[in-house]
Amino acid sequence: MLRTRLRYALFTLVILLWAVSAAGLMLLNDAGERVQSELRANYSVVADAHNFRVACSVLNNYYLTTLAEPQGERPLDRVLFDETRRRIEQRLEGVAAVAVGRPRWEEVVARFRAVLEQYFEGYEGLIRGDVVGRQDRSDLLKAMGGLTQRITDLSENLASLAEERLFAAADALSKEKTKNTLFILTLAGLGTAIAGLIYYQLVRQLVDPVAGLKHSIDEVKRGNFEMTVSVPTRDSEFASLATAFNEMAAELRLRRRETDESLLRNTLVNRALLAAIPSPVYVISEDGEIVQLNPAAEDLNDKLGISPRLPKKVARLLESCRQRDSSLLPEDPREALLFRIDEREFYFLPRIFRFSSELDEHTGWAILLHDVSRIRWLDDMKTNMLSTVSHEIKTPLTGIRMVLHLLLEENAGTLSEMQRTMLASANDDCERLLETLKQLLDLSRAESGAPQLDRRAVDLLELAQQSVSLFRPQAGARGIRFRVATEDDLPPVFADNLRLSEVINNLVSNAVKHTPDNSEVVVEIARHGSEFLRLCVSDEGAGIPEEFQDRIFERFFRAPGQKTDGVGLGLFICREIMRAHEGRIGVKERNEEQPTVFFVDVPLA
Amino acid sequence: MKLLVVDDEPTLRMGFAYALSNDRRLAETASNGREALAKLQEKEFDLLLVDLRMPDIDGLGVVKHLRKDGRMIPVILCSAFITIERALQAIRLGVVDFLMKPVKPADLREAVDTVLAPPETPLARALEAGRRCRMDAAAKALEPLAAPDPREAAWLKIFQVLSRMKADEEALQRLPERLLDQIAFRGEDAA
Repeated sequence: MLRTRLRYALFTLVILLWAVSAAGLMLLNDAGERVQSELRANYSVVADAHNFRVACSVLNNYYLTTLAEPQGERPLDRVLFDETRRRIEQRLEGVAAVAVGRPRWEEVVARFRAVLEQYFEGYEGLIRGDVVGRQDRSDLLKAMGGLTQRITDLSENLASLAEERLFAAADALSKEKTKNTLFILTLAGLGTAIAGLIYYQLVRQLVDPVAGLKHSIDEVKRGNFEMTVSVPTRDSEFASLATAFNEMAAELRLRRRETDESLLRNTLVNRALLAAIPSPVYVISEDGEIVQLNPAAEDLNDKLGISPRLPKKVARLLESCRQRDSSLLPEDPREALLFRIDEREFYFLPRIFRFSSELDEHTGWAILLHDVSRIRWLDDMKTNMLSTVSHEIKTPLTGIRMVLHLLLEENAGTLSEMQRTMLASANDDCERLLETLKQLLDLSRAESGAPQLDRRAVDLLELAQQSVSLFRPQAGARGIRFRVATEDDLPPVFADNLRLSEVINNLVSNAVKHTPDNSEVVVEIARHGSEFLRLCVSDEGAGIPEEFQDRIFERFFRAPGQKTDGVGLGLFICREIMRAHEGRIGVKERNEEQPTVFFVDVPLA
Repeated sequence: MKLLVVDDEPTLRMGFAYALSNDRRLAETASNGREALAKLQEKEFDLLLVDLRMPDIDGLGVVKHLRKDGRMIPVILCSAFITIERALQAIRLGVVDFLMKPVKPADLREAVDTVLAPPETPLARALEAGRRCRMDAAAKALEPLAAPDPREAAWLKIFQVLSRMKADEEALQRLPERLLDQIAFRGEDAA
């Protein structure tokens, strides 16, 4: 483990450090001690040499001066001599101890010893009083002076020997110092080498993997998930890190492959879907570029000879959608665009969707051109056929009706009661049939183009009153009353007089038809919001079952179980008219008081 | 008085003729435009009732032949359905009486009576002028009206447009289809 190895390496380094320090201290101590002992030994010798001289001169001063005095004047004291002799001999022993093993020193000490023997012999003789004559005295003085001189010389000799020793010791010390320096330098070098080794190991085991990891992470950041980190062979904390990293890269690779695959699959599915849609589909980016188009669109573009562009009519619609920022989703095939391809007419209903992602990051437009040529053709056919058939039926019917009327007038002859009943019944059927045909023709007219309106300011109340007076005779016969309720100062509406009358008549007529005898039909006019007047027509009839309320404005819808006649076109035509007016028509939700309330909202002028 | 009823529908033709014939009037019939023209060639008629839609020569075709010969017989144009263009074409040929099928015998008689003996109203005078193709006179007859009813207003508009129409085809195109509801003949009880 890296941690262990790091610990060992640093431990070694610390041991080495301690060893170097210990060795250094030890060498320093050793050298110091040696210098000290040398100094002490030699210095005592120098001191002893000096002492020898001092002691001799003390003795000489004390004793030799007596030689100049008359003899026997005072007895000589031997205490000083004994004391001095003992001290000198003691010191000489010390010097002899130092001199052991040093030939030159031993020789000097031996000579010193011999001279001292003679010197002390001289004084013994003096103190004992052996020296009595003048001659003896002067001889002794002379001999003692010579001996003293020799002692001084030998002392000097000893001192210089000791100095020589000291110098030699200093020399040895300096030699020792060089050696020690070398030793410590060697140890320091070793420590440096170990530190270098540790650095090298650290770099190799710590920095290199981190740098490698960094490089790999950078690669991953750039999307190259193939980059792996080599796993260190020996056990190391980095082994698990590298393994984890490689696993992560592998996971990312897998994920990306899955993403790539699902993307590819989605693309394929989209392409298949687009190809399966028989209508031309264009996907347009926000800046107007065609992002995608399906085979049907390519085909259409080829046929129109405008390969890479949107057809002009579509582009114009897209532009207006863009300005309004809203989709265009027409339902009515009549809003289809006409394209001429190979001398034939094609109608395409343009459906323009705006799409955007949640954050509005990806926006654009999808355009689907729904081919409604066939629907248009069928619709035209149906309208034409409706019209033709109605006319074809209507023509003979007018003849039949004329004849029935003439017969009923009884100008051609009187009718029996039975004949009259039968003819009246036939005439009723005929009238109903004609009414149906009229509505069918209205429908075909309504469908062959949006009703053209001649809109101007119209008084809605006046229209309502006209309508009510139109139905009053019919209603009065069944005891049905009318009530017109209105607000004061109603503004005029913007409408086509005749068309709006048609709508109101239809509603009033329906109310009269469905309300029970002796009940009331109410026409109410009031403001509805700031843009509309609302006209409501309510009756007391059974109302419209809720399940049919959504369907009553469909063409040909008739609520089941209706007694009265009609083909179910009245309300459809009303709705078409109100649409053209940009108004509304509807049924209010039922309540107890007014079972059926129809309303129309007409825009204000 | 002699009337000619032209219609390709036999029952209706028969009905019309029967309804219009009385001790003072005689209605003859023709089943198509060619036959009608032949009869018109033979003798004079006081009034022509013609169906707009007929197989060979249609109602307007018959009228055109007559006007080409300079014969200004009053004509009542019957039809189940008419477009504004056809109606204007007819008015320019002096046909101002339109009868929308289906029609009741009473209305038929009233329409014929009105044409043969027009009442003293501005509209009747205007229509009389219209029957003689004098559109400006027709327009003038209606212009002084202070509060024209929708029918009078519609006719005034048409006559005004037609009187200065020669260079103004577009004004014709702009006349709304709904005018037809107003210009057709309406019996007293139809209101």
